[in-house]
Amino acid sequence: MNDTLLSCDAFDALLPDYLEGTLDAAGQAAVERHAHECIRCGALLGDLLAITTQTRSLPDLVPTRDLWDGIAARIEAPVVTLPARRAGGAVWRRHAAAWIGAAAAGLVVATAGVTYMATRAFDHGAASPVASTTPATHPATTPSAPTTAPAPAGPSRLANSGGAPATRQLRPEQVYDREIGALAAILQQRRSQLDTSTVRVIEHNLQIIDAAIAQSRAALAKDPASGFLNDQLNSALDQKVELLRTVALLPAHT
Amino acid sequence: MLATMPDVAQTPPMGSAEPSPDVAKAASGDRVAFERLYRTHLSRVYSICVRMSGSRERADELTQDVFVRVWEKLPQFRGESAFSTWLHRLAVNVALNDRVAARRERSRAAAGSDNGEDDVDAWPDTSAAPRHAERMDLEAAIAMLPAGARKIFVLHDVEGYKHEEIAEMFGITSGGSKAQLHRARLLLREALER
Repeated sequence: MNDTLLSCDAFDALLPDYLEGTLDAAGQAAVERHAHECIRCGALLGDLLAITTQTRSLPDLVPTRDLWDGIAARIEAPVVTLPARRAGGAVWRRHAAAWIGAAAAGLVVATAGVTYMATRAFDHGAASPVASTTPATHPATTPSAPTTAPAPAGPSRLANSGGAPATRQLRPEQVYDREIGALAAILQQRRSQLDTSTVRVIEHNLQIIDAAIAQSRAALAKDPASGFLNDQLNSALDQKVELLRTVALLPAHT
Repeated sequence: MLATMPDVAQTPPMGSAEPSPDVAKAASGDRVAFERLYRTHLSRVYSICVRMSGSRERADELTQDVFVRVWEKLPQFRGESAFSTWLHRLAVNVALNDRVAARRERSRAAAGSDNGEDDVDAWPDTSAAPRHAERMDLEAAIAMLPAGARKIFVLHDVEGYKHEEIAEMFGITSGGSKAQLHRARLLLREALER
């Protein structure tokens, strides 16, 4: 390479490789000679080398608050023990069971706070639950929520209400059934507080979702390894929980 | 933009043998041991999350996500690489797959340009960025980089990944990674000169 002919444009083109250390000796010499002779390019090279050096010596950062409480709350969430549906099952069958189990576990974490808030409101005779309080935002999006939400009371209350076994010992379907049952009970208690047209819409939608759940379960009984059917069932169960959860927190006579 | 992330235990960018008994204890469910691991590695993980996301607030959440994932995946940790290497890679993957930060980046880019988050011309107005005296702090300047360039800059210049590894993570060519890195350096220089 003839370094005497190196233009600023050529310098710019070679600069990334120079900084990477991937230029051959002639190329390196040409870049350095040009940088030495050209004020603009010399300053550019010096600045970029300085930035690289400073970057490598950046210190580790520390958070301004202790994050452990949020982590501890999340890892202490109930874990659903997955049932062995059938001995010697296919790989997908195991994956499907794990998937719905994980979804059920996520459900508990995501909705337990809402159920707790709603049931607590009724336990204390509150006529109109506070719709704006939603402590059970999904932990994946707001992991710090458990530190401020009534996390210890919520999940344990859900898991142990009615003297039933803890959530850790339940099958995934039982987790859904329990959550839906708790929320459905709230709906029954709230019927008189809600506008009749609202109740009709809610019940109509619940019928649609229940029909979808029933169809998915019937189909799964014939083809338990179907990922699609597991997906459909889980989606329908999630929809039902979501609808009931919304209803539980509706202000009276909306 | 992102391709499938490589397995977290696949490529060790750094780290040394670290036969900590807390790793085995935590893998078997010992939360006290896990908290010790958390305390030991917190600043390393947090630093990755801050610089990759460009936000300390988001980094708080990402750091928690990382350690929850670690807790979940520890039983699968095979010890083929140092725990710190495995943890580091997992933290990078969590930060790379952060959809919340991606949405914020898109919003930020849309506010400054219609050409997307990685548009060079989307370099934001740094007048609102934190400054030390007259010059912008290097950390703040990194945070202000467009998302793609920032992540590649952090992975290469801060975390020591090679272009080939970065290219695999992002589903781009090594040349593309080099170009983004150089662009990031030029943008940093511009920011630090203001």
